[in-house]
Amino acid sequence: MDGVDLVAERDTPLHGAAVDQLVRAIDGEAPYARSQAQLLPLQIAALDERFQKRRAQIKVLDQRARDVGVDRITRLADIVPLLFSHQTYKSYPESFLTRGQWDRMTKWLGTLMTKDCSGLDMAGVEDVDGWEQRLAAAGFPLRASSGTTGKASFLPWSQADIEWHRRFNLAALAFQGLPPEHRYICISMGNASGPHRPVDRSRVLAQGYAKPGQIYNLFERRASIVEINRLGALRKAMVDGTIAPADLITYETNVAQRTAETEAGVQRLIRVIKGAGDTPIMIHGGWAAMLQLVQAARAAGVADGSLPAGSVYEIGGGPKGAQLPDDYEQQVHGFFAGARYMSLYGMSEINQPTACCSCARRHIPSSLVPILLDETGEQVLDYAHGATGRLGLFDLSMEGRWGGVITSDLVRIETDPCDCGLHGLRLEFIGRYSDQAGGDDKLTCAGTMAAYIRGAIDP
Amino acid sequence: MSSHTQEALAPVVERDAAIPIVQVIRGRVETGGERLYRSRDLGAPLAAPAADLNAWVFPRSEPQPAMNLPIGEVMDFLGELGARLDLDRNDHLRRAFELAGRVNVLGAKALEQGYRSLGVFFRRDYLDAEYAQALGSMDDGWREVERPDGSLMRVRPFPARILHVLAGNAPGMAATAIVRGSLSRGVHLLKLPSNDLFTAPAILATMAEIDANHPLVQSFSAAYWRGGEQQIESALFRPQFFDKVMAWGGGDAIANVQKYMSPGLELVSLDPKTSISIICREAFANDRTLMQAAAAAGVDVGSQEACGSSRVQFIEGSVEEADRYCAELLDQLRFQAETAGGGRVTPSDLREEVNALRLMDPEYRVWGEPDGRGLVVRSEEPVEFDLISRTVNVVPVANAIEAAKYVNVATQTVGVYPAQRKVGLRDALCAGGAQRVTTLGAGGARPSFGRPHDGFYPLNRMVRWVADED
Repeated sequence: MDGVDLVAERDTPLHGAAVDQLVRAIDGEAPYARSQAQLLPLQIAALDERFQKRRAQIKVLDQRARDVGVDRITRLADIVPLLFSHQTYKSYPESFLTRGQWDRMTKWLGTLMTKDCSGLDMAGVEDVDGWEQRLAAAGFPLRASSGTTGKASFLPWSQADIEWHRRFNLAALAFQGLPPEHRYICISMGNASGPHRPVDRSRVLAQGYAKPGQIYNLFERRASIVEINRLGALRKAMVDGTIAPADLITYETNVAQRTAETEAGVQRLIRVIKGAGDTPIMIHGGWAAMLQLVQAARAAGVADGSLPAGSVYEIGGGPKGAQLPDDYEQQVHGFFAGARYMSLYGMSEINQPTACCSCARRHIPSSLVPILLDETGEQVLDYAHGATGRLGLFDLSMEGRWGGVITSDLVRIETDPCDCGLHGLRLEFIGRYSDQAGGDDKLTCAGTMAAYIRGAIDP
Repeated sequence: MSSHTQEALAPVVERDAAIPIVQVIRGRVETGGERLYRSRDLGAPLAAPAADLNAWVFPRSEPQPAMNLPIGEVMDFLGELGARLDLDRNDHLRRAFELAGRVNVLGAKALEQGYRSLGVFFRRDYLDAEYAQALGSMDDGWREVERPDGSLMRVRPFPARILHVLAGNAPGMAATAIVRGSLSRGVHLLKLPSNDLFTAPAILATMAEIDANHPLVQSFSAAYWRGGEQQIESALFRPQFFDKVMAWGGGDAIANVQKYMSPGLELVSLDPKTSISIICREAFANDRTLMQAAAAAGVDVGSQEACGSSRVQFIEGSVEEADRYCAELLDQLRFQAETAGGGRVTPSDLREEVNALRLMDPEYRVWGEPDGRGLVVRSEEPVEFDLISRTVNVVPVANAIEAAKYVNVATQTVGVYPAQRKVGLRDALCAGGAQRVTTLGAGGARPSFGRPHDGFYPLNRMVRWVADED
């Protein structure tokens, strides 16, 4: 594997012995070899090393630790109140964005970062893209949620994380029998670049697997977070009552343009697929975009199962609230029949994916510590003998921000040895708490203007 | 999602552990746990009697039972009912109070106070005021009117068939619906909210004890289904059975109901609202006036569960003055929390939003802790997150009139200190969308009978105005 050895490169001891020992296990079966019993003491020690170092750097973490009275991590339960939810990374007042108060946005982001970004000159920054690029240029890359509705989250990252992310992902693919080889046409159902994590995944695939010049994206441009910003501004104007009907028409026109751009991109990618010849294709995207591609390809006469031999497809994330037909999975898998399906389970909040072994079970790398919780996320569940609950994770490799997150995922964790012979922890994704349907039955007469917004702007 | 997932995520309700919901159908008290549910707010397991929809609707072939009951007799009956709603002597009410804490986030003392003050909703003077204000006179039945050309007409506020989607933030909501429903003399199906499943059935059971065959008793039913339960709602929300759906709040609930609206079925919506306060510079005259203003504002915050609860407070003064006010307000909020004996725990989302602002000094400043006992956030303009659990946002403005630009159609009550500043503010506030301007501290001082609510008189919307013309 090429790339720098991040741990060895730094001054030692950087994070303490336990973190280094766990994070160093990247390649082959090393991250999955040790059993829960062997790992736990080391993981607890590593969590404490991370906590002691980070609380001096991250203001929000220090505040939280003081609030809950945690000074040391001696068991998994100690880290539970210190796990950050997605809310933490979108806790900025939205007016900072809509009013272009970039100094304040930076100050807010600074409370979540391991490095000090104060004093950074924001003069001349015009929009949220400009803000993100100014920070990146100063060595403070960040990642934004790609959600087109609701409030965007911003996660501080670092150059080291970008490198960790690349190495972990390539190592996981190699573990699954796909060592880096530059022999594919790489297709991404996203943007060519930009501060969204799916873009990072596409870049890693292209770096590891694309034939020279054979990289294609649905949008051959940088992803823009200004669109999210614009939506936020629109929603705020509605709440404030400063919106004009013409603004709404402009917004709907923009939505139509975006739809047209997507359709044009899909047609361009279908031409790439049709012209692939014998070169295998590696394609990566979310469910909604993949379904759109598959349906358009069929309509354009591309037969199911007709991709070149050795092709690989990968689909990230769940349907994410998109309105998809009941059989969307069958529709997509049917089209890719004969190609290899790569299934990785990861999320934007962490650097590391989980990889499937030869028994098609997901293994958790030893530098990613799972913390299993009850539905409310408050009580820790013991998974020494396997258990099901809400997933919390601590990514020991995380450099730019705090590595502890609580997810909305319901998972099962197994600790007994896998049939493939590996002893490490395994994870089975069961569902998402946020996908649960249900109306509001608890009635109060209290409500805000947010309830009075309807249509596409309503998150 | 696979069925496997649905099962894993579905709340498991043990029949034996479930709290039985009592339904009262036209005076008949129903028990029995056929249907299992889980309450929204606190996740309490619930068991409701079978859903006999045929018994829940009032057939159009039968005239409304109380249609021609003289209004004096209606009020006499309500007066007797009010007298029986004594928490110490009424077993139905006692049970409602004892179970309320399992499904409602109000503190124990606030709930007790709510049940002990139910009698005021049945006071004759308030009933008179409600009837006369909403319907234009104390006339009963058909009222003769001479038209411009000298011809005669008789008009009548005719009883309607109403499905009420009740709100449950306080016990008084059920009493209000039953009183207004009785005064309208129509027929009423009350859909119980999961945060107050017990008050309306307790009142209806008390009515049945007075006289199970009384026309008013025969005019009411109270049943539970989960809001949005499609099978039930799509069968009931039809003009064949009801003239009106009266939604007493809840954004999601109203959106739910709206999809069933069609010609012949009217939605009377008491929209979800928020309320604000304006504390003018007179509050800073001396320490006593500052405390007075903060105390009145604290009363208007209350448990912060209702539309009338103050959430954003505009201070006519400097940042330093606003900060002095914030410290004083925090004391008052804690006093309120103490008096109520608890309340909603600060939700984690709100805690994170406020904690983020704590680190944004000096643009933002925070007083108090996210413990549900009072939290004050000072900012340059109103914050964007929902304020709940006694969390107040204080915004300094140079002139009180600037607060009007933050008023919109979701603004219900604006409390003003001192009272004499209302005159200079009220037109601007109402032009922005506010519907009620009060002296600070008086927002929840008395029942809403006899005054407009949400820009109309609810009782006036609960009848159909019909005419007999010559």
